[in-house]
Amino acid sequence: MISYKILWIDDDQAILESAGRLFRQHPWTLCTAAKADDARELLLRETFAVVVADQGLQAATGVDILEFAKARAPTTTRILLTGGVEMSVIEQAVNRGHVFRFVTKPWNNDQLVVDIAKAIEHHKLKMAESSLLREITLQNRKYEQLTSGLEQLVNERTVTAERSKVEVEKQLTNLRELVRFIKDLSNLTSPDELMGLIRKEVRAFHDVRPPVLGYVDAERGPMLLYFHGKQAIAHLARVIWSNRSRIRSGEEEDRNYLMSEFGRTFLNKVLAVPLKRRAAAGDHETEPPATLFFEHALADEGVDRFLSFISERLQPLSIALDRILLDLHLKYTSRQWESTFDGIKDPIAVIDRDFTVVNANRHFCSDLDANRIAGRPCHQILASSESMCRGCPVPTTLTTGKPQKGQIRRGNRIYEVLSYPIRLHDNLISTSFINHYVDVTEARELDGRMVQNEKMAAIGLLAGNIAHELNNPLTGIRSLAQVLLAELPPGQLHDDINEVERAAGRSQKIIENLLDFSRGGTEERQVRISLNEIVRRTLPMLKTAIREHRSEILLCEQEGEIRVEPHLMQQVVFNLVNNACQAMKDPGTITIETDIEEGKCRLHVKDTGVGIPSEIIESIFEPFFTTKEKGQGTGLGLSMSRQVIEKFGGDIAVESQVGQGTHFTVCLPLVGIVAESASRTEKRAGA
Amino acid sequence: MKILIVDDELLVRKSLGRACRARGHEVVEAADGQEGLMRWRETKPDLVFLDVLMPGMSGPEVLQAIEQDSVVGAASAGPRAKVILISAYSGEHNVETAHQIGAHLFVPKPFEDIFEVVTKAEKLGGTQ
Repeated sequence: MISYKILWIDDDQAILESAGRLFRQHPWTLCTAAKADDARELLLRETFAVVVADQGLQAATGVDILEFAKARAPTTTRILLTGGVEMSVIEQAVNRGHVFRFVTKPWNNDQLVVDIAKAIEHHKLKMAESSLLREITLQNRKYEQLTSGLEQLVNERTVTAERSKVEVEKQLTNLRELVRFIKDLSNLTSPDELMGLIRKEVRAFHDVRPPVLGYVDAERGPMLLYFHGKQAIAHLARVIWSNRSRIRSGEEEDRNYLMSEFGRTFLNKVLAVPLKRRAAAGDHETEPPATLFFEHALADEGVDRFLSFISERLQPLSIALDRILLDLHLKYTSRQWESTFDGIKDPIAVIDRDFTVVNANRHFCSDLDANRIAGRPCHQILASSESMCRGCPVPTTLTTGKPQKGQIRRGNRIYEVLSYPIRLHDNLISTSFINHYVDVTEARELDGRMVQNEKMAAIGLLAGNIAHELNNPLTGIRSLAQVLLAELPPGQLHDDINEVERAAGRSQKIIENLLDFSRGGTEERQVRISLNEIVRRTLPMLKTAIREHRSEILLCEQEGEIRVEPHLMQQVVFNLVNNACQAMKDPGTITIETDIEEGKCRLHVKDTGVGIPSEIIESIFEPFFTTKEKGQGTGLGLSMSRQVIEKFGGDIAVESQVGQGTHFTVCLPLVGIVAESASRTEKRAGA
Repeated sequence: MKILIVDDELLVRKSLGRACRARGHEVVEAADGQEGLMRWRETKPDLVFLDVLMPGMSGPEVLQAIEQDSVVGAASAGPRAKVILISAYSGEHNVETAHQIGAHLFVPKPFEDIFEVVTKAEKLGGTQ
């Protein structure tokens, strides 16, 4: 084991002794010196691990000694012993003596031992370091000798390498640029954006103007896209550009083309760069390839540079444009389908086998957001119903796998549902269906009306026949009465015969009205007729209906004329009064009233019947709406009445209170007023 | 004036006949077309009331037969009687169609006033 040597320099013998006592317990060899000169001599002769010097020596300061020690052996660790701490001393010690530690007197023994131990460690480290350094230096020297011969060779090599490195760097930059360009391309969604990118890309070429792109848009046809300031603008090409697929530089054809399209002079040359045709361009053979036009003032060398720049980007550009156009085309096609379906007035929906809507057109979900419908059951959306619509053909379609028809109700509309199974493979059971809903309300109404018309026509024919059969004897009765009246002297008999004559006359009138009324189906001309007259003509036919009720006929004093087809208007009156009578289960009062107000001729038909509940009052004019027992009414009476009234430019309104009665008001345009005397008011008690 | 009334309705014949007689005319009645044609040929009336729809032979058929008579120069031929067509089926005939089949006047049934009808006949027959 190495015993490390410590040199202690102090002019106080007592201190040297106490240090000697202290160090005896440690594996260290202590050398002491009382004078600076002795110390220097020792330092010159031997190498110490640690030198401890007192600052206050007689011939020199501790710092001087330590500085000397450092110069002699840099690996020696230096400790300065001081009485106090003065800044100047510390400064000197650090700067000149490179002191490791300061130890102040009187010292603490333990601390001193620790400091010394640390100093020795420091010394060991320094030693190792210096030996290593030495070794390295030696080795280096060896290598230096070895390499010096190679240096020349290496130098030569380096020059070449440097040169190719620049080349490689350039290529790498190019490649990076290209990769970035392709990446940028992949994010584009429109030709405009593509143009923006190309413009940015060629900006480095100062003599190249922003590009013009000719491409064929699936929706709009051949388009020219150009820049107006920073804005990319597209316009429909008047003429199609060259169909050639070769890059052309400075050709007149391209320049003339642009000049005619843009209506301005192109002073510079034009470079036309056709992009590669679409891969699946089978049916696009006639279309010209999308072409980039660059107007430029480049010199020949610049053109070459620019061309190689563009050529490098041609392939990704073509692919990107293809992708963009294909995307647009797909979007356009799907939008076309969508708008086709949306354009269809009928609701159409694709549904699952569990009635969930997969897709639907706008009319299917009238007031709903289209994306809120998917996943919900069809009956919920279409008919606001939590269960399957009555009459829905889907279950049958499901079991038979064949298209089916059915009729459902949606509010007050009737739809014919045509359900077609969608079969993806011939042998598979279909899992979804196309439901096509056709509103057949009007058609059904028309059917109903036709039936009604036929019925009326049949009744008319019958009534006509009966009327004519009656006319014969009635003519005889009335005529004979007239003859008898002429022959008879005044008296009881004369009076009685007179009654017969008048009764026959009245009967004749009734038959005439009946003939008018039943002339349904045949188109009649609209004529001016007083509303009162219509009522008067119709009343005889209502006698049976009114019989058990009290009736109040309050006809307006003025004969207000309206323009109508009398038999149709009579049917309206008949319907309203007949309905009113039927609404009164027990004998009640029916009021038929006419008046004139604000240029309108009005007919009021009031009853004291059961009234109409508010929840169905909206529906009573709807075709087929009826509260009567099956077979009692067609549900067409009121709807036809409304139609007739609207045909004559009028309207019909209803007010009702349940348990109190109902009041229908018909308003028709007043066309004139005739004699005031013909009016009458009649009150009659029920029979 | 000699008036022939052809109508299957008894009351019409009776009333019309009575009204005519009251005005001093000679009246012959027939209850259907067949009888009407026979009486027409027999009595050579100045004026005929002819109903359209009758069982057996209709009014127009009777007229046709009379026309035929004058063509073949039958005994009944001579100055032809004036004809008033009467019908309850007013839709079927009017003055115009009446003219077409050889009648002079058309009067729809029912009559409003029997005496007016007689007056019309007198005007037509030239007795007024």
